[in-house]
Amino acid sequence: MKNFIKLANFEFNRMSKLLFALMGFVLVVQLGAVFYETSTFMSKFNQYMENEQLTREQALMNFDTISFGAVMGNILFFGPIFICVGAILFYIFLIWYRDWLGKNTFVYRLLMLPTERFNIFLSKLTTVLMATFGLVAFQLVAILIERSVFNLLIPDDLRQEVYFNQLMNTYPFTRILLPTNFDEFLIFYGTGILSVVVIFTVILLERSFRIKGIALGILYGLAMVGLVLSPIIINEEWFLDHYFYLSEIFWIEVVVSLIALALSMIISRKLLNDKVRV
Amino acid sequence: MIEFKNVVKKYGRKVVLDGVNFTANKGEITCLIGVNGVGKTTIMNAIMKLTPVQSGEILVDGEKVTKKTFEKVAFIPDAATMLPNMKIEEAMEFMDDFYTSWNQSRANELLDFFNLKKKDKISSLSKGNTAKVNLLMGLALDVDYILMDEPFSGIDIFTREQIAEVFTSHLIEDRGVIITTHEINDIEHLIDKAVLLDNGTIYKEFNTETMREDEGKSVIDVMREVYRG
Amino acid sequence: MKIKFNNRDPVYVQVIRHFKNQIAKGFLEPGQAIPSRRELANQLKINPNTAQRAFKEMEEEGLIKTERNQPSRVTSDENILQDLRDELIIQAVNEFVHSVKSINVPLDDALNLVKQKYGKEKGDLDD
Repeated sequence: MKNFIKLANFEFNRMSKLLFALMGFVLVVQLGAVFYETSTFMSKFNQYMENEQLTREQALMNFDTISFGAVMGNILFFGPIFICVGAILFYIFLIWYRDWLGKNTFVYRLLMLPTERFNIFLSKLTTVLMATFGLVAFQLVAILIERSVFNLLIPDDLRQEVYFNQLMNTYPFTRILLPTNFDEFLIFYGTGILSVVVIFTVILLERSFRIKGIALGILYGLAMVGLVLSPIIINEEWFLDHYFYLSEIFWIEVVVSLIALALSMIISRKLLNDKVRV
Repeated sequence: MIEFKNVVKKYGRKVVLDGVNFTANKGEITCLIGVNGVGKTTIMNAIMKLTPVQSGEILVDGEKVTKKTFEKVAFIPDAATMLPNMKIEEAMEFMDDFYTSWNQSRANELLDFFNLKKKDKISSLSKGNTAKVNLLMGLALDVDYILMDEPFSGIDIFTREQIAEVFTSHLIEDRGVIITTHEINDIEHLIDKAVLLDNGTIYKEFNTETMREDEGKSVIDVMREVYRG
Repeated sequence: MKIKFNNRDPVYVQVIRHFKNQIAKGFLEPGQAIPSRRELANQLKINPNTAQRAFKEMEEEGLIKTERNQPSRVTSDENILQDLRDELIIQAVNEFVHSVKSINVPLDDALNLVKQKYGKEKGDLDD
């Protein structure tokens, strides 16, 4: 346990620079979206007043107000989110392969540590999850900051107030950031964690059996996707014809996912202990 | 004692170790000799479970290799095993964090001996100094056995001499050492036992002093017979 | 201290030979302390096991003596030292006879030459 914490701490420190850079990038670019949207809106409004020769009050009558949702629709807002998602996906592979490739082969050291090798797996998993949750949490804080900046730049009478929850439900990608209920949380993050574990297993298959391992890995990945989707598929018309209620399917899914998770971890442990190559 | 009992290792269809048997004793320097690609490195990797073997047994003091073995056997590969952006002192801290057998006073002694500066970044070191850092990380562990993969290859003559000096010092004394080389010249006088490898098998395993005494042959003489004959 | 080792004689034998020469030449005096096996291994760049073996053989031959927790010392036993000198002389003579015989030089010629040479080199015998 102590070794796991040391390793996890070590792995996290290795990625912390990248993580903080990503956070900085998100905030800066998203503030860019705030400034862009607010300034175009304000100049449109001023233009409108000028062209129509209206007083401010008259203009307000006919002019649509703006909400923070407009900012969230800007590519400068959701672009960084996708880049973060891409970075995490990339890091899931990098966190393993960088130890094998390159001039300094750190994997020798890792595998020769007098500790359970599975701790290496767990520490890398923890790091990826902490980075993901860290980015999500940061994004929520960033939205609050961006909204206060937005509120400063748009006068009250031109602004449409939207509740935070409502805002987060506007777009699918923000809905994933902040699930509205526990079931959604389980579905989004459970699927996420399971995917990372399965990808780790595929990577270890490749690291153990190399070219053959790629084929094995792809087969394993497909098998896991099939396993997880099987309860939904067999409940369709052509087989069980909706024999299970949706809530039942949900819990069956939870069980099946836990099986997939455990299986992947057992295989990964075995690979690290007996099959992996430097 | 490190024992190999009929160890077979294949990469796909290619047989790398074809029934390897040998022993290396504590307190002795055992040298695995053979041209490149005969499986010397594979033998070391196999001891540390860095590559799986298909059959046979590898025992350290009569026991199979487990995580506990890593406090007993240190492997010094011929590539750097610490992160390039670490300083030497950070690498030492890392070792200290994970190994109970890490001996910081010996590490300091080695720093002095090798003329290394602990504030130096590993990525900034010359090839010779990288090899020295590698050795430091292994030798500063209070382990019974040390495995060194080609410690003399690709480095300058002065560094080679310095490394050879390690073998005659208390840093090695009483430990069991397995060292691989394709060039015996540097260390002919240093080794107790030679194990000649070819095509994944052991051609000959002998005590060098006994060989000189009984047959008047140097290690190179024996190699000539084995590889030419 | 440096020895140029050859690869075909056992290293420990070469170490003993070196010590015998040093003693016979008087570089090592009777009763003088010699380096520990560890120091010796380090100085000669040999395996500590080999140094150990050389020490053991020399102790058995009575060339050196080791008391508990004391450095080993060259023996002061005159008999042993005399035997050592005899051994080295006989060795040298044997080699000489062997080489002289192999080129068919008459003994008297050879001895005359030896006398001349010996007189010349006396004084700067250092090698």
